[in-house]
Amino acid sequence: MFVLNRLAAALPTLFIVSLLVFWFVDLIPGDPARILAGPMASQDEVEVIRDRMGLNEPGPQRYLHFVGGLFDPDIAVSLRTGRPVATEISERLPNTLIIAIGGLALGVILGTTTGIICALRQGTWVDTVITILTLGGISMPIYWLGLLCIWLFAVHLGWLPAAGAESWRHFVLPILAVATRPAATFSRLVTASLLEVMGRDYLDTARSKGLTEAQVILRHALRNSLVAAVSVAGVQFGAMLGGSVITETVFGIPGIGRLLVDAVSRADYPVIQYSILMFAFFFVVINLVTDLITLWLDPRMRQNVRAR
Amino acid sequence: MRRSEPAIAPQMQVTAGTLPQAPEIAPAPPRWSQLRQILRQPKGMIGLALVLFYAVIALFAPWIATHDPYAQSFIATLQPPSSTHWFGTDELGRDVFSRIVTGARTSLGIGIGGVLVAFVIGVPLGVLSAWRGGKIDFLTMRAVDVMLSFPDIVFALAVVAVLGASTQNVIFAVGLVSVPVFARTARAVTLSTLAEPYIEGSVSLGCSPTRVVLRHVLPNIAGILLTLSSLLFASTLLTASGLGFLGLGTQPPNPEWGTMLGESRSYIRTHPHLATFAGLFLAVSALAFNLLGEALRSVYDPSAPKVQKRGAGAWMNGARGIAQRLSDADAAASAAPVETRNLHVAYLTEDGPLEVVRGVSLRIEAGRTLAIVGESGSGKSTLLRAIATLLPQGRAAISGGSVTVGGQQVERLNTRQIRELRRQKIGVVFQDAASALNPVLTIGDQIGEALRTGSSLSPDEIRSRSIALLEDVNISDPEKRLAMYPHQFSGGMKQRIIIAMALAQDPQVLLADEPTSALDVTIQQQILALLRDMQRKRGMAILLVTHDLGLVARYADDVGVMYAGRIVEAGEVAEVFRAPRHPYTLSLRDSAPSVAAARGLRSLPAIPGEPPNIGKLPDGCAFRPRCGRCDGRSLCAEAVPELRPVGAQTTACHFAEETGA
Amino acid sequence: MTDLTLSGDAITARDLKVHFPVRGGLFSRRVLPPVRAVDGVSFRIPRGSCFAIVGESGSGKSTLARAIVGLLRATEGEVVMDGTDLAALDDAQRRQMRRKVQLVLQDPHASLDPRMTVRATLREALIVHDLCRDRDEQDRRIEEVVRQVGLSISHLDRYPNALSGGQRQRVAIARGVICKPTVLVLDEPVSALDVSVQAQIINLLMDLQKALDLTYVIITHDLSLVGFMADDVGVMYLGRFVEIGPARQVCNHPVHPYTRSLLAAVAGVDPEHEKSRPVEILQGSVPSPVAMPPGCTFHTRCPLARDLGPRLPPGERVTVEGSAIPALCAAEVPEPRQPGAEPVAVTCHFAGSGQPPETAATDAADLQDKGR
Repeated sequence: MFVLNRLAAALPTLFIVSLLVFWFVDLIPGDPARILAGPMASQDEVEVIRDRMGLNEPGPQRYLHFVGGLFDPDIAVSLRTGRPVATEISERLPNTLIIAIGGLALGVILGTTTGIICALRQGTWVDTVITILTLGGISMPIYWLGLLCIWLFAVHLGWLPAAGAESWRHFVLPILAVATRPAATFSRLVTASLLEVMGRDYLDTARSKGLTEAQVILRHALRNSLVAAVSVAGVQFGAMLGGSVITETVFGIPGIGRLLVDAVSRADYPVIQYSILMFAFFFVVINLVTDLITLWLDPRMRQNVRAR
Repeated sequence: MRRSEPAIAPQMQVTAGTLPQAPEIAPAPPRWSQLRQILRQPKGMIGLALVLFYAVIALFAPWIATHDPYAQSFIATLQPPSSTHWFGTDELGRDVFSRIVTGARTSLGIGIGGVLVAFVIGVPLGVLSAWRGGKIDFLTMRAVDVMLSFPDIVFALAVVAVLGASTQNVIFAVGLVSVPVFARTARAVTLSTLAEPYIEGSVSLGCSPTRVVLRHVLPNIAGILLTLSSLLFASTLLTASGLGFLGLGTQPPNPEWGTMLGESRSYIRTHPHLATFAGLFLAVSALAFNLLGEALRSVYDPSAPKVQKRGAGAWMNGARGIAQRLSDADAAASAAPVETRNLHVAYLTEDGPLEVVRGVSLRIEAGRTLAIVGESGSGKSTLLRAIATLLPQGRAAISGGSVTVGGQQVERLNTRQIRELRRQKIGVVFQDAASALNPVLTIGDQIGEALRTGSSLSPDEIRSRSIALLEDVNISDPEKRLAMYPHQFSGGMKQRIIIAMALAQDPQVLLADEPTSALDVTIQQQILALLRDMQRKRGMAILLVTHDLGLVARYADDVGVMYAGRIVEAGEVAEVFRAPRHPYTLSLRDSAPSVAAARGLRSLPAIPGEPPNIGKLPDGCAFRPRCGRCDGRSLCAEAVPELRPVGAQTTACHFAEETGA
Repeated sequence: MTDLTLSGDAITARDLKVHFPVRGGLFSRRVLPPVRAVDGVSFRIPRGSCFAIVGESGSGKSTLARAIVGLLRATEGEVVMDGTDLAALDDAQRRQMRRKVQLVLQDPHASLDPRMTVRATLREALIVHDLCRDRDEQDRRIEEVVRQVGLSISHLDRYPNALSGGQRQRVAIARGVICKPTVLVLDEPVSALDVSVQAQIINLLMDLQKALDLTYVIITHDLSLVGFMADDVGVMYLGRFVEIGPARQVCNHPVHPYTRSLLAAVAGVDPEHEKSRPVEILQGSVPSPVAMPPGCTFHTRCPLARDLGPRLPPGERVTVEGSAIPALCAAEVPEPRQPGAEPVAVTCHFAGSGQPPETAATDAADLQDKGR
């Protein structure tokens, strides 16, 4: 029931998102058909292309045409390479996902561990060091960190390749770089929510049952504080997908982010459209998934949903 | 790239709950003290200093710059740092230091502009949708949802793609991206402020909606919004520079840190210094605003974790040492389920240890109920926690005297032994049943845990014992209830479940801290009658902490009246209430409306003044300033009265014998 | 203030209902019944008297208080204040009207704006209702009121967090009386305060009532307070009055089984008396207002019905939650009626008509008798 409700709420969002992305073309200065045809083409040739692209049709039909492009590779073609957008995206998607998932996993593991340590060792030097590191982590521009990593590990030490996506070794640096922000954010969040939970009576209830401090933290405190952390994990994953536009530029990785940046600088609007749609789609799905996980972790939410 | 709203607004509740708080030193909130509060934190001081540093650089850039930031020189390209070019030169021979200084204007300008755009659009939207609710709220939140469906740098890219790459467009793009965050936060804090009773107070006073928003809502959310602005400034700066890095922000030759970083990318192998300085300035400026934001947050956000004072551990260890020595002195083990001797408990405050319990000796026999009566700040809950071995670690400790539970002296036990003691001999019932149960575990899990810990019962046995426990506390349908979660029960039922858990290991003593204060009057009676029945069946000792004399009269055998950390009168309930000898007990009893009504009085015999602030107790008898009997006699100010037998009870009053017939 | 000299009622309510709509889920087509927080309440409060509304959480007493103040609009029925029907006013007129009815809230820690000094809080009331010509006059009025509630001028420039609980409640009361209202609605005015401070505040309230000729509406769960302060009392259960009448009569000789259970829960401070007396404890808890029981809403917990049920022939009784109760209770909503000579209205099919109420439950009555 809840899943249905959430899906029902996500569908209109997706619809509006796709409408926005669709209209967005009209906002771009210049005539897409003219761009595709090239500066040398005659007016007739431009008209033919315009017709083939469905630009002469009325709005609703053009929208259907646009949605159809999701399923029919021939409709949406890159202005730059002439290849179907679907092919361009599907070739690059794995690289983007590997970095995002790897970075998130590493970040969550690092962040949760340091967060717990920080909460349990409040006021000690460990806490101070971790706090400074996390503050540094959220303030660090990832493109600078990436450049520093390249300089240190690739140029100076020569341990890892600087650019490309040929082997697993190419992914080590990008994953390390993108993991800093989620690690820092997660660490701070876990600390804050653990500290909040620490004051709750149910921990004392658990202690008065004779549980060890470790059991109290793991069984009672952590799970409650994870409820807040999960939704942030979702947001971070989305942010990392978005961050791929920068990471992939820094590390020279052929992924969707790089594709989008190139498309923007070359006004390759079908690619822009569909890759933005792609990002939005992932974002909505991730939010849905995190909602479901939160629900599984926190039974109170289930009731709220039903009451609503 | 930071889409997460700094997790402040949505959980704006004060979480201290029922934990006994060290008495707070009341601060005055106005303007200057807020600045002082920020500066008192290291992060606030560093953050503010760095922000000022950057502001100075940006404002005085033309005077600080050593060279013309645009002047190219092809004979001096890509030079390393030197005395002429402090940060070296770039690929066109321009002075990097001057470019960075000049770039501060652009970079910080984009940050300010972006936050301003987001603030000006987002805050009114958020406040409006919280205030008006209904359709406006629905539409705004839908729009926010849609905007949040794009990763923000992607959204900014799209905006730049439409408008073209330029500094103004970047400001607009990064501003637009942050609008949803402002709108959401403004909405959430407005909603929670609107739910405050003082808003209802002003509405009922007759304030118009405009006045309520302007005079009450906005001043109270301003701090949070300021905090958010500072934190968002950092992320806006990073996003904007990210666009610059991609070549889609500020266009060359204008200096901007992100753009400069982007240009340096090609030279990272050969001339790493190009990336170093621009990156450093960018990172440190983001750090500055993050630090400042953090400091602001701990001032303005009640749910932000409070700064813990260093050195707590050292002091606590010292305190434990004292306790050890004191308790060695009178180590004779006690046979009673609970006994304390001259117990002192102190909280650690910013101004050093503060004794909240100041020498309490009590003894509870098996099968009897001792009620501790007192007002807020009397130390009664702290006393209970000390006996329960549940003093908040690192914040409070036994600073003298001893606690003996079930014949074992608590201070002498190691961690494992304390666990065993808690498990086998002590049951605790808290005031707020809602927070005493873990919201994410089923009742069955939580009761089962109490049974399972330290025993070797099979799952079936645990289940049947759990069911039996629930039946004991009169919960119908126990089999079905085991799979339910705490929020599915009413307050009274939750308290029954807590009692079932406390009884799981057949404790020798049950400690109940205001177990019914949060419940309706008819439910109160149910719970206390249940506790009494359980006591009769199991013969345990009960310590009942309460402020309600009526409940004491009905359910307790013995009573100790606490005032300012000491017991001022103790004895059997029947004796103490029939003929109180201490003026405080006497006034408490007689100021109850039912007693006054019974005597046909039209005015209550009230105790003047307020309960004392434990940090500033008067010399001698703590009750002296409020006492009608003292009458300025010097003995009251000179000597602290000790508990001594007077009549059938013990009383700590120099003039207990003067009690009127 | 000529209207104060007029005799008559300060407030009357006729068949007042406040319902809250319940929204269904996205996929549920069924229309949910509204929450009937206040469901048909009538009373009149004579000028200068003190009317108490007593009930447990969920009884609707706070909703009723807010409907009286005009913070909530009545779904049905009317509230007439000084001859003006509140429902007939527009928003601006209602705000004007609020000068005459002031609300004092339970928790003084939360009911004062933390960013306003005491003086600013009090001045606001004068500004909103445009009661003083200039700042000097405002200050004079503020200082006068502050003294009236037992605070000193030195408190005026403090912020609420620099005041103790009792002092804050005095400020809240000062804000309530500064614009010379005729009615003060007090929502649990002392229950958040320390025991030793409660008596001070109660005394202050009683003095103010006399001095300023105020009409009080007190919302409380504490029947001992009602016996002391109130002239009349209405006992609420699930949005309705189950018993309403003179406080002395209701507290000393309660008729409705719910009132009697509430009184039984009030424990005196005489331990011998408290321990020797068998206390009849009301079982169960208040049903959810979303799923109100049919017939008499109290029948799921009613001790009287459980007492009477088994004595009735099988055709006239039904079994509810394991106990036999009269079929009438579960089927028909009782109408208010007056069982005795006293002007007490009781909403129960049986109470006061069959057997006389047993004296065991009338705790306050015993105390009263002893006191004399």
